[in-house]
Amino acid sequence: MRNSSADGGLLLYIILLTLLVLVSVSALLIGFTPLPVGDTLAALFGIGDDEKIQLIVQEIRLPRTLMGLLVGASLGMAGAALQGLLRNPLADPGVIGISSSAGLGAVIAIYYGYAASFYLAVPSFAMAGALAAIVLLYVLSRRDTSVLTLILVGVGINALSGALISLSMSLAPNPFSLADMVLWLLGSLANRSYTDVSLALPFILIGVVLMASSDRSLRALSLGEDVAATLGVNLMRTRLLIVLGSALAVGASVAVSGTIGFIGLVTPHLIRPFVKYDPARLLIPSALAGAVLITFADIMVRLLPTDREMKLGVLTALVGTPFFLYLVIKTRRNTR
Amino acid sequence: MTSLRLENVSVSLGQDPVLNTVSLEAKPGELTVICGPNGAGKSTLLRAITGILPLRAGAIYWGDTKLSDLATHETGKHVAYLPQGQVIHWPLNVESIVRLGRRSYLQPFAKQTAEDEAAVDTALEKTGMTAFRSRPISQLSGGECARALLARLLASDASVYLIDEPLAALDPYYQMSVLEVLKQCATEGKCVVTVVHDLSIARRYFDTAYLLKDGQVLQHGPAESVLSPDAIKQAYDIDVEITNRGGIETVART
Repeated sequence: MRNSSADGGLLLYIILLTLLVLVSVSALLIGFTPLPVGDTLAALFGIGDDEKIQLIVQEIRLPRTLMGLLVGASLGMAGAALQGLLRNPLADPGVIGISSSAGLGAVIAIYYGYAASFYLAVPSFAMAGALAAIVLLYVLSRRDTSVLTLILVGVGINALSGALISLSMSLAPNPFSLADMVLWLLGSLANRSYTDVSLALPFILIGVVLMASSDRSLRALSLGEDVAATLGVNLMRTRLLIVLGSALAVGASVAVSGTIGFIGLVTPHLIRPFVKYDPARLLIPSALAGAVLITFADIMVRLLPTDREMKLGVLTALVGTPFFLYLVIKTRRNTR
Repeated sequence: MTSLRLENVSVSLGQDPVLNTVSLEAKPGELTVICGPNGAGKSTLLRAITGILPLRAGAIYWGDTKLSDLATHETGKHVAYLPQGQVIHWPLNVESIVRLGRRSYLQPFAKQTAEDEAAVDTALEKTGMTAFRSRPISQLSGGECARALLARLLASDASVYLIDEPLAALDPYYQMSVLEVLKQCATEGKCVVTVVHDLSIARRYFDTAYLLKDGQVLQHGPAESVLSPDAIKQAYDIDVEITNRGGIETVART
């Protein structure tokens, strides 16, 4: 009985890692241009003799797949960590206003035409937007140990960024920049290069480590803030780790992929029954599952027979919402 | 003898003074009850002892140790706290909740030790929850849940147990079973400080009583003499009679 939880955990990891390998390989094999499987795998390791295939696999599909894994892991873990910290199953990276302020940064870069003049303008501005939101969040909620203040300030920042995004759109200098803003906000992994990957990677890594280091405090927080404090949890430190960690990881993800909804909200709900609802053991499996889900969704947008490739954020929201409603109804029934 | 001592403790919530120069001594081996009308400052008193609330004045000692001098995880080894209406935010199983009681002993990155395991087992046993250890808390009845939460407290093996109204919403059977667990803790030398609303239970089952009103100690001493009709009238504005078995029956509002 004692060790059954550990064994169950191991099985979950084996399943998630297997899925991760499967979707990653599929993502490399499936694309706009059909390629032979053998040549594709050879090209991946640089041993093929067709330079065109090598170019497609190494310069287009591989960075896109890596990007998907990183973004998915960030969103999945940030969702799990924030739901644990705020003890609210509806929390997601959007709730503290990070996604929308990163979006605002990107929209500003497009509005002023910086996007056209240098390649990294959009992701850099988006990172700056996310960082500005963290500073604002910290300054406005640092005096209060209650997470309710944190949620309310986050909702405020979210609304403000949303309003400023709308303002930029309504004042857009021309229809092309308006279209750019809208399409960018919808979220996509198409045409991402190693430059994008290397821009986001350090922030995502730091963010993930910060979030993962708060796991034990999250478990104690199941008993509420007062009791967690008497058990030796440093509430302010835990909050700082999770808010800063999720802001770095999600800010960097939004910076390179736009806003991709519902992965952060849904993934923890999907995993929770397999870790016995333990918010501490939820973090890493949620990161793995988020990576699997995004990569899978990104394969789907390539396979769907639409004229132009459907935006990834649109697909995750379309599929994610009904699935989320199903989960809500099902778990409500079970726990009542 | 080592005991829990509050010396002239004052606490404010925001600008409002809630406790005013409260002094209290709770001895190991005794069941100490804190009574008083709603808003008298009972819960604030317990939260002040845990160190969650800062003191405006005064000091709290465990023996010669001033509690406010300790790091938070050290305080947890001396003082364990169970709030009123404890909510568990996720349907964790009983065992993982009880294990949380050992958190103050946990070294960074270390696993739980054999000592921790033993404390968890003992706590489950004392509260009669061993058979429920792998059940999710959401599937327990109110009485079972109360005992599981009590087991979390006991697992800490702290010297002082602070328990805020553990009997509310329990049927008489579970009230008795919780009281028996508390009594056993006291017998083992723990210092048990409990807020209880039921004056009959407070008078009949507890050794020492502190009667609070408006943030001050009105009376203190042996529960039987403190909870007298006169003192209760003064604190609660009600007329009561002592029944044959030593319980308290409310007669009328004054």
